[in-house]
Amino acid sequence: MSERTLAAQCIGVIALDHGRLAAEIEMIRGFEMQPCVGYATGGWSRCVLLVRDKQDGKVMTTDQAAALPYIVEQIRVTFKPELVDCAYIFAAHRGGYVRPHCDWLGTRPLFTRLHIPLQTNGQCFNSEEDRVYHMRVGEIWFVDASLPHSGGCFSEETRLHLIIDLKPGTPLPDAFRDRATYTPSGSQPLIERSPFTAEHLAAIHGLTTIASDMNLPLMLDLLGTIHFEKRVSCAAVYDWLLDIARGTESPDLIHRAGEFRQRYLSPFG
Amino acid sequence: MRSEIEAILALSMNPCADGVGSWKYCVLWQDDSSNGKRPDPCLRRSLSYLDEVIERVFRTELLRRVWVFTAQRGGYIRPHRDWQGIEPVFTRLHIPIQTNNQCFNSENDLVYHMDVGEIWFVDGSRPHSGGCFSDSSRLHLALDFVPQTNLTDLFRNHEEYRPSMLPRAISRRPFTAAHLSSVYSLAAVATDLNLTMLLDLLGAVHFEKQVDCAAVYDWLIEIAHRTGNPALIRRAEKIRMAYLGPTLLASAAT
Repeated sequence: MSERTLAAQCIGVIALDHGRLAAEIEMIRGFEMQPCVGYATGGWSRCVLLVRDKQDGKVMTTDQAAALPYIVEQIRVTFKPELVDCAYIFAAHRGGYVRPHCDWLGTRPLFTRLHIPLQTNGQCFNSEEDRVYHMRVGEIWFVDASLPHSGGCFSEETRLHLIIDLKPGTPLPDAFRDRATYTPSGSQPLIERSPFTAEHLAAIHGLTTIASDMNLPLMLDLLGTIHFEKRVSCAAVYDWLLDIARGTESPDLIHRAGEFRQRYLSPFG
Repeated sequence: MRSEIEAILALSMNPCADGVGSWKYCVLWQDDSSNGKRPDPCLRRSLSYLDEVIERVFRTELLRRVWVFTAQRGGYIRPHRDWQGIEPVFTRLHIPIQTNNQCFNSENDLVYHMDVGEIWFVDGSRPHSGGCFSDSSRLHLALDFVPQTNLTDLFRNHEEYRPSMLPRAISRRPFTAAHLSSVYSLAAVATDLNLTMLLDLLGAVHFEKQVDCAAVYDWLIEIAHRTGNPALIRRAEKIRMAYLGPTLLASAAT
């Protein structure tokens, strides 16, 4: 691990009761989770626990949340309820990851997102631009969703993250009922990766020979994982895809690769 | 048919560990007297037209299971054999109930398309695959009968058995040395973390190029060898074993 700057930040820790948590993790295993079509690949899925109604402002609780009283209690005792807009469980395993993306572009955030790992392992990674890091169970992480980011699990064992979306622009210390819980770590440990070399880039560009409309999303899914192991920005995958498409000289494929980049890096641009 | 397609699309589908992307399945009914399971009566009622057609056309006393396989947006099943060795596990028929021209099936080095309403026998002992590369979803009924049943005997009326002599193969471009070279150059980026994604990308190549669907496992092993990583080589070999079994295939075109 090395120390480098990261906008994502561990801002506190919840001392979880591992016995009660284990019982609820068993419940989550039985949930019908929703795949995130178009954004995630493989075994990446999610379910909604809490969501604020935009009309009357009340927070609605789903059936899944009702089955997780301990986890919901942790949300209620830790965070100011009036700031919580949504809560989810994100699950990932066996190479399930979310394609590198920005959740918004510009200066108007859609939410203030916190991740709290409930179950994880050494093959779970998050990334932000050209940095990769790991979140440990119980840690409360702020993720700057305006920057290109990704995350997933490359183990058979499932990663479970509790996700809290607070109102956009919430100052982080204000998120907590007890301000003493806000204990940001000064620097974040990063995952060491090997250099990304000209040989790697040549192999990627070589995919031009087999690239087609049929397999472009599969290329994206493969190439989108490379940054987890090599020193390169997670957003570079969209440049590679465009290079590959240009190499085919197919206007349709170039257009489609451009659409991918537009969709994932500037969804609201 | 249209209303039953709507009912099927509303069913909760299961992802399959061997499926790529949005390839999913649902068991409509199964006859398993040994553990007391029976066809789901509610589901059968909601799909009464399909149920009636199956009852009318096939000898359901030989039928063991009816599935729906769904795929869309690049969802496909990795090339595989359904069993290894000489003892079949079932006699499987596919009946497309919704399809489009971006839906393909493959067997060894042939790629073909099944049209709505056609009844296709699929030889699960051979390496095969299938998927849909369109936004519009493909729905296939898959009927598993008692293993080794003569195809003629699957039908209540033997006259319904009208085999076509030759499958309509999809024409594909040649698989060249340049293609193989770029496949092998992926050794530069291959790791334990991305090996299954490599498999998923390369497993789709045969739908467009003239190459055996099983060749993907040879490519994966060769890529692993080129990394010089013994653990990756073992894993690539285990993947081939899992999908194709111990027999080495004649996919030596590569």
